Amino acid sequence: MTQDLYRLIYLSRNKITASDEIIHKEIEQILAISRQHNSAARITGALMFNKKCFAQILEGSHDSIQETFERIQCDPRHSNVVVLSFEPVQTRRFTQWSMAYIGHETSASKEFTQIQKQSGFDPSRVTGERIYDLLQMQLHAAEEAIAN
Amino acid sequence: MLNEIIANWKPDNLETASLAVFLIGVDRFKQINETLGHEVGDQLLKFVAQRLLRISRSNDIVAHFQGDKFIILQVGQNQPMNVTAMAERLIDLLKRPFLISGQQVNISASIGLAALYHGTGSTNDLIRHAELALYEAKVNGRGNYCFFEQFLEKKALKQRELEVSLRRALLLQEFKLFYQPQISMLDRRIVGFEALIRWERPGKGLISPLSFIPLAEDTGEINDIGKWVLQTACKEAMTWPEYIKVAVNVSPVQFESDNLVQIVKTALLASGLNPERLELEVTGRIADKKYRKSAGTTLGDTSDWGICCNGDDFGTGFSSLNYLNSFPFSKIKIDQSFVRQMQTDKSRALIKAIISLGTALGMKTLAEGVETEEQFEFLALNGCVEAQGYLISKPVPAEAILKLIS
Repeated sequence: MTQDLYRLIYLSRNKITASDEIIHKEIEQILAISRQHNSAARITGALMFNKKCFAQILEGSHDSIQETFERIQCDPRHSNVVVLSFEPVQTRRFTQWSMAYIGHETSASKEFTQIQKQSGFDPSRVTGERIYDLLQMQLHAAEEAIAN
Repeated sequence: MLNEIIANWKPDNLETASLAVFLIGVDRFKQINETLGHEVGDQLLKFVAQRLLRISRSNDIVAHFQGDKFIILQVGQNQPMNVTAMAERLIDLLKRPFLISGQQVNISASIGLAALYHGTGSTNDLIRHAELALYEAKVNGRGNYCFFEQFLEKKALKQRELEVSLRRALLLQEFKLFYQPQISMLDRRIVGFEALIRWERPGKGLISPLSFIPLAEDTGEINDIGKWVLQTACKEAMTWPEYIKVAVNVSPVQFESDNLVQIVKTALLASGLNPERLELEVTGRIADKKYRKSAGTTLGDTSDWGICCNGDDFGTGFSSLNYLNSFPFSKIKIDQSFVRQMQTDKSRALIKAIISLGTALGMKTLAEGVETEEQFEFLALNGCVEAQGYLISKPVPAEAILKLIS
């Protein structure tokens, strides 16, 4: 496939059932590995987590996303993977982030929980756009805070 | 290599040791190839293999078996607990979407399991038993696993015997046509007969088409059987009065071969039957995209010669309204399930709706499975044109026809 830029947005269900502390450690580990892998594969993106679900965006070449996604798919810590969108895009949005993390204490994550409740936890009723906007807004706020 | 490993395997602890085979088949792989192209299909198999390798243990052996099938050979785990847990995991893993050529591809997989000392006594039988179990898993609706059990072997044997005897049934003249009369509701006169095939299997009695036609469709034997039915029905109809028609069932699979038009033509020429006395009965299955195009062309041709086309079992299965529009039907046969449940308001309303649909589209309606006077009256009152069923007569052998019409 081409070197064209693609963006993948997917949701999956968290299968880690443990104390908050252990979950936190698992997520740290997921992030560390994915950041390491992503910078080598020139992938950028964001991961949002709210205890019940993961939402992730990956940006990069078709083949690197494909490869990364295959690696993620085999991870037993999540299940019920639903791809919301996989399509070519013009530019990267998460240029600065090999994997930005939006934890469950943030306003975006709370809104994510709200969206899930409204949709009755039915992933087919959550759109990729909505998740994308949410992550983008949250990161924008974070970047501004750093800049100031 | 796989066979050697299996054959040379020696258990190090007889109490717990086992050897288990997972035979993993991608469901509907042929369709994936047809709709998305071979390149996507090949890539998909590559990713399936990669996922299997990723989640198997270091001493499991993962191998490509053939086509869309893979094998995992598991050595020395606690069985059968381990295999079933792993099978569930594999099924879940392969159900997760794949990203191929810029698109999302979703599949499911079925798994056949066999484990030494758990239903399989000898290493020689492991793979064969896993194959039988995989077949069973697919029959049971795909996307699940099946652990080999002894009865599967008997079932397969019976199936094979049936297949072998079905292949020679035509040559041995074991098929026979029965005919069920169809009458006009106005004057109760016989206007036609539906030809129904029966198989007299030596030592097993009369076998219903419901149990051998699906097999004949699978093996392709249906083409020769269908041809014989057409020839025989046309020939026998020549001995009846001119005004009586003969209806012959055509399986959707028969449309897949290009020469059905030729077969119909030959049957008419050989018998000398007037095309207007022949009716071809098809079910909604011809609307399936596999058959739609060739069925449309063939039925278009036969209609041009004056052969009628009947929509069988109407109101059930695939018979959508669009289907009525896509083929040159001149008659629709109201499925017997509606007639049987005629005591309910809903069934009566549906029957009325189908009759008026037929009238509006200029198609005759025939009610199947009419068994009581009450049903007959209701149908006649609501404008149904023809009837068929035990009230009139059960299917009879060809010899009994002349007596029926005299």
